[in-house]
Amino acid sequence: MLPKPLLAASFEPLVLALLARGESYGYELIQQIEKVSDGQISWSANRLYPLLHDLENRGLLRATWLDAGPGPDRKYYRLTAKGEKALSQARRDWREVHQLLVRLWGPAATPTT
Amino acid sequence: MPYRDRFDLDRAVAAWRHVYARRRAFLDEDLDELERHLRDHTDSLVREGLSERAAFESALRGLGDLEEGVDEYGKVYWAKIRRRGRIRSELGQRAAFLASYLKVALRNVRREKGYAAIHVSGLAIGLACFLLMSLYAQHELSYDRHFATSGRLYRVFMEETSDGRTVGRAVTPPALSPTLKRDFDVVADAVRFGLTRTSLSPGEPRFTEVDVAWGDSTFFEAFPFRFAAGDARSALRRPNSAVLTASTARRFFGTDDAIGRHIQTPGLRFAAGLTVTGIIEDVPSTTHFTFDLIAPRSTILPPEMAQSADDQWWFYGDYTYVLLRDAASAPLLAEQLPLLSERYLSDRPGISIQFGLQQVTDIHLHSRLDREIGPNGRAKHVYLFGGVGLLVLILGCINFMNLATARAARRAREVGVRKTIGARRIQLVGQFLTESFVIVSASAIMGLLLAIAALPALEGLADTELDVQGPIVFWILGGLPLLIAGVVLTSGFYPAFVLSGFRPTIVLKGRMATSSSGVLLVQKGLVVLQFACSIGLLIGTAGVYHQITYMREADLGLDEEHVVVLSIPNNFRGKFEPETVRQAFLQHEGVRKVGFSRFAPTENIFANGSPIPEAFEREVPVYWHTSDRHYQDALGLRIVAGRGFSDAAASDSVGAYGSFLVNETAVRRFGWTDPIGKALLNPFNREPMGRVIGVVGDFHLTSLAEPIEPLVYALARDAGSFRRIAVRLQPGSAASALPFMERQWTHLMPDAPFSHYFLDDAFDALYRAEERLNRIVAVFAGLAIFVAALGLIGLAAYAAEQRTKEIGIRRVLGATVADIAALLASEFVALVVVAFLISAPAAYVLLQRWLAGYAYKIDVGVGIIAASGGAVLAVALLIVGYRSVRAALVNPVASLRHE
Repeated sequence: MLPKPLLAASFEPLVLALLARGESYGYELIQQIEKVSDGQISWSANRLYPLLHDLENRGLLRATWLDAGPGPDRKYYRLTAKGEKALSQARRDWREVHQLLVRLWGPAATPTT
Repeated sequence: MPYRDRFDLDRAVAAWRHVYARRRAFLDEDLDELERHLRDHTDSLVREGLSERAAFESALRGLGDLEEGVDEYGKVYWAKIRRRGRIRSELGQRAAFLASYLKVALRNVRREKGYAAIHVSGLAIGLACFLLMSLYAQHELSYDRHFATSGRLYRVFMEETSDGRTVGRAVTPPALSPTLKRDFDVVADAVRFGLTRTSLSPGEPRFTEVDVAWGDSTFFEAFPFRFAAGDARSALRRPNSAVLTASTARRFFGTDDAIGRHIQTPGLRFAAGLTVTGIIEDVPSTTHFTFDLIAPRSTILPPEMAQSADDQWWFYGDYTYVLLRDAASAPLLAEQLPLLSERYLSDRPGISIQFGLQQVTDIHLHSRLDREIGPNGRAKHVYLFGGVGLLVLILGCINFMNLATARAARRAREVGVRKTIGARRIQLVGQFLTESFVIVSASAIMGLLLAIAALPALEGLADTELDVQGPIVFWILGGLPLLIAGVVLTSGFYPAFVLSGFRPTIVLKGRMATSSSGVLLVQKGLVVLQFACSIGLLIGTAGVYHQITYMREADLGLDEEHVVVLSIPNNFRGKFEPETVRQAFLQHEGVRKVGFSRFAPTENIFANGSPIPEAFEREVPVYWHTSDRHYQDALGLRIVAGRGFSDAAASDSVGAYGSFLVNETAVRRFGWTDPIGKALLNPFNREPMGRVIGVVGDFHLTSLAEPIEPLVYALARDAGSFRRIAVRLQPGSAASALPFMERQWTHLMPDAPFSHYFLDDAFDALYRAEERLNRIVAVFAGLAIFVAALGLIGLAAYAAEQRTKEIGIRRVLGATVADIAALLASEFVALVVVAFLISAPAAYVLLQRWLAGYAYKIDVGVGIIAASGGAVLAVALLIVGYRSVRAALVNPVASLRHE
């Protein structure tokens, strides 16, 4: 299991990235991340949904309620233009960190610990 | 399956939801989303083969920790609130601040109801005065502007120069108007106009005195009155037509619809009645003339006068108005006017006539010619009223400023506390400005109401009606808000800034009195200013009142009461026998004396003769009046030497005129020590024209503003020069004598209008402008004092409160109430004295300057000045004394504990 800070930091960009592939809902997102991460990342509902709401409040996502059979409707989320911009920014930010790490940990670098 | 194993998904979900729903962090839709998630997860696990119960329990675990959920959901919720709040608070912040200021301001104001009342009333009075005065000034300045033609409308006046003296006259020769129209291109139209008073009847045997105007047929082109009925262009074309004002129509016929109705003209026998051809709006009060009815010139004037008129240059009875094609051509016309004198008026040597142009809108305030249509106002007065109104407003503002400072200082401790906990200076200033705004707005509303309520009084004082609609709209929409803002900013800033600059610790320790000595000085200075203005106004009022009373009650040298003056129209000269008329009048027991003359007092201000007195080298300009034997008696003149005409013997007739009476001033001017028997010589051929048989005591022919000039009465040999009849009546008999005289008159001179006035009225009318001035200045003096007194009340109270502790200590140490009162009062008395010393000399000088315009005036004695100063001092003492005594009476223990 990845450490908490990393999980927390990656939460938002991962959600945006997943929703970039298409409209989705909370349960599906949890399944997708587990599949894509080979079980490394497992989000709980109590933490995912608040994040989705926050993204919605900030205008990065838009939500629609659709009928899903017996029980409450299902809430579907999709990226807004603002959300796509935030995703591109996140991509740039993470790439920068990644490249820095690669440079430091690269073939020529020797870990001291 | 055992009972306990029967699993109901819906019941399980409901149970779960119940638990979560109890936590406030989860909204209904959040729970819906979570439930959906739960069911989806459960379904998917069931599809993988788990039992419903196992699937549900697994899904439940998958939700995560409840508390963690509460945290996360809660965090997002607050983030949302904060975000929403930030956007709205940009707008709401200001409103919230203002609202809180307003609340505090109202609370403060309510707490100090007494002082607030003083603030409000002082400022309200000032505002009301200013409003009323600007209304009046605007009224006076707007005379005649309501005519659409006013930009192109001018009156032609004449200047007559002879013997080195020039006199301007508003009346002009009848030939002027048609000549102007004919000879000058720039003139679109010229009309003649005149007024008389006569009796008309709408058909019943009842006569009414009516102001009748006459005008050329194109009168309404120049003066475009609004026609309620009838056509402006044709209304005066036919003879015997008449245009009535709406209220006259109602007076005569009870209705506005009076076209075609008939009016009898007993006062104008030559006219066979009038037919109404038009109804116009009433002549607005802001016009320099007024009339009830206007008829064609040819109808009102006797036929001989009307017909010969167009070539007549040498008598004057019409007012001539010109309507220019273009407003800009006025100077052009003015340049060309001398041509008229060259062409038509050059045949009399020694007399030079010139014509001048004056804009009709200037007449009311600036024209001071002989024979004006009515008493005009004076531009100086308008400026004065405006100035006084502004002054009272400034006094009110000073009051407000003073008291605001005092009020701010009183709450100094509260400020100190607020400052120590960091309230920003701007907030404090804002606080005080808001309070000022509340008070000033209240004052403004009160002032507006006061002004509206006092309007009838102003109309009474100023003797006119005032049109309020336009000005009120102007003030409410634009003027007042601006005024409020102005007053708030100027008056409120000072105390706000001053106060917020105080250092809090000093304030808390209560050492306000010493650290604010600068403030107190300014306050005292302002009070001195207020009182100086009040004293000045009071002195001015007293002085003017004195002068007016003096002029009205002065011995005029003749007995002006109970004398009626009748006018004989020009075309009747020589066509009647004066003695016949005299005897006819004397038949009435109320008629005591009847005399004939050329001029009556108050009418002629032109020296019109210049004989050479015997033994004197040069001509002397004199008032040359012809009269019959009885005229001097009718006027009640005193004979101080020799005999009057009534005792003249036939042997006194020598030379062209025979006998003369001269007044005392003439005797002095002629350098005679023994006037009886001296001759007056004709200036052209030096032949004696007659001898002086008596001297009359000096008397005033006109206002006491003018000096008495030399006067010569010449005993007329024939009745050709008589224009006026002076009739002395028994006191109380006018009501019966006048109608009797009128009947005799129309019997003897059937076509002559019976036009009369009372001599004392004529003299009184001379002083109307001054009286109006005085009434208004007096009212303002009173108001100024009142406002200043209000200011003093507040200031005295404030000072007393500031020194409560000091007073307490003094009392404990043995000072009596009287001692304390004297101590506090003396400081304020000093202020009033200073104010007096500043204003009294200035007021004296200004009063003397005003009086310089009067030939006969009062002496501005120490009495007036001292009395004014004393009055103000008394008021101040009363106020301060009351406050001081109250402060001194406070229980010393209580005041020592005052912290």
